[in-house]
Amino acid sequence: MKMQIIVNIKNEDDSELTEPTTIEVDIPEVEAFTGPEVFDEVFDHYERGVIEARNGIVEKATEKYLSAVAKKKRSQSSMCKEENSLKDQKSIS
Amino acid sequence: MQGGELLERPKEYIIEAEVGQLEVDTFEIKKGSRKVFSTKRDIFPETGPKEHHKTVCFRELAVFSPCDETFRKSAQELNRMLWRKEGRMVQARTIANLVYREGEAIAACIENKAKTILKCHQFTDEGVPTGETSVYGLLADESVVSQERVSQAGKEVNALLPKDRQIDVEAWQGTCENPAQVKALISVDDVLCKKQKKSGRKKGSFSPKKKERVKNTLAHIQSRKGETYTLTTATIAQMMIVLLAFLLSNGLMILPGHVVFFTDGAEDLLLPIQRIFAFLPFKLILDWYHLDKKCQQRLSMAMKGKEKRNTVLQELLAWLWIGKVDRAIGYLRSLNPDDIKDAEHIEKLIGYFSRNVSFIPCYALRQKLGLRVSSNPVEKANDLLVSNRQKHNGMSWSASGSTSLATLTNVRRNDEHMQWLLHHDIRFTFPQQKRAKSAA
Repeated sequence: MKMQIIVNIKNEDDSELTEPTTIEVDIPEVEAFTGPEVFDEVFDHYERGVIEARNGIVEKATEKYLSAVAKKKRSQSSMCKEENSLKDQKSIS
Repeated sequence: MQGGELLERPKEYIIEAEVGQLEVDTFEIKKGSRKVFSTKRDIFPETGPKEHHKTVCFRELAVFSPCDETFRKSAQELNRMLWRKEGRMVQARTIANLVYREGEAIAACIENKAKTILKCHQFTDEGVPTGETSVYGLLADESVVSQERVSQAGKEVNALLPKDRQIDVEAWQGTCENPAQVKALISVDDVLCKKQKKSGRKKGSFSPKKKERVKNTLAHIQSRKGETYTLTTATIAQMMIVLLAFLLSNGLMILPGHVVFFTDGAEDLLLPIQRIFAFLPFKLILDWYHLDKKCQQRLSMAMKGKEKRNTVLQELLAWLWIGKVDRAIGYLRSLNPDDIKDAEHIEKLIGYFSRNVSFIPCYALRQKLGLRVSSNPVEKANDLLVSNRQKHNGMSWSASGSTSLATLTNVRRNDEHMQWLLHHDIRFTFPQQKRAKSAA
């Protein structure tokens, strides 16, 4: 059995900031929980896998998010620079 | 599907997990008044009323973090780590109760294991052999260091000593165990912590004159391959039984050679060792550090002034270092009475030497041969398992609390914590990683 975790980061207008991040993790079959004596062991398999996947996917999604932040800031600052240089040229002339 | 009435109980079973506090629906199938099926009984582990089940990941964090810091700090860190919000926070008292319960369960598991092992090897629950024990008494030729090596080491030691202090090398032949041919090297010690005051003491009532202490007994076992394992129990009597079971179950008892004990000379340690291991070729060696400390303490109370004490101490330790206990006693008897403040302490020190004479080796020779002269591995274990966590200003402990915490810390040190968390069992063998390393 697998658990799929999808992380989607959206702008206020519901458009996607980055492409979705997906991860799949193997989890124990429901039938594996045969009784109380195996519950801890089976659930531990589930919990460790899921925590690892959760941390992994959030890490990847955050990297994408920060890359988008960096891209946006870079384009903003280059636009500002262009505007400033135009202003300078005007003031000289 | 079994017939009967299906009852759904929403969010009835609560699980404390690292992924969060989970409120799980449970189901019951009833046939008349008989419960045919219950999720709480047949799928999930049973819990007490209002008790939350704790997962392995959660227990790993909650049970073992208090081995390093206070219950309060552990609770704070756990709540931060799991992002627990108000109302779902784990309380310090909950963690303490969990630690005490798990510690007691581990102690009970070890006790049961020891009993089973002893029974399988024909010993009573008290460690008394009921069958043939000659197999445990085997000594190989190489069980002691060779005569040539002892003679050579003796010569080297004597070369550094004045003529009147030369050691009789021949007298020490056959007394130095070969560390590669022993059953095990075992250091045993007690560690004391401040005991909690009894609750319900009335205001103005007399407090006991002597400070009450909680005792834990620790043993450090080292095999001939260098593998190590530590044991903790509440009493020395329990320790001897668990220790015997450990040696039996790990096949150390059938190895030819001695069991060598290193102790501080405390009578309450010596007597149980002698009683339980009487059927074996075993050696007891008095730890040099404690012998030195004992002499210092007694002479400080016995002699007039620091200078006189230091002169006597230096001379006394020089005799003891080469194992000449009779000369040390003779020296104490020849002291000038004018230099003595309290002769009772001199007599007590002589009594201590007389009681332990058979456990005082020639430390100089042992050191030259590269043999152990102290019980420092267990002293280190004392620090790691008990003192570092339990001996701080303002801390006091109940007997079960102190032992439980020491037991849990020890389980982690022996790398058996995951085995315990997953299977509620203790391997009771040397840590596997260390085994692999030593094999490599």
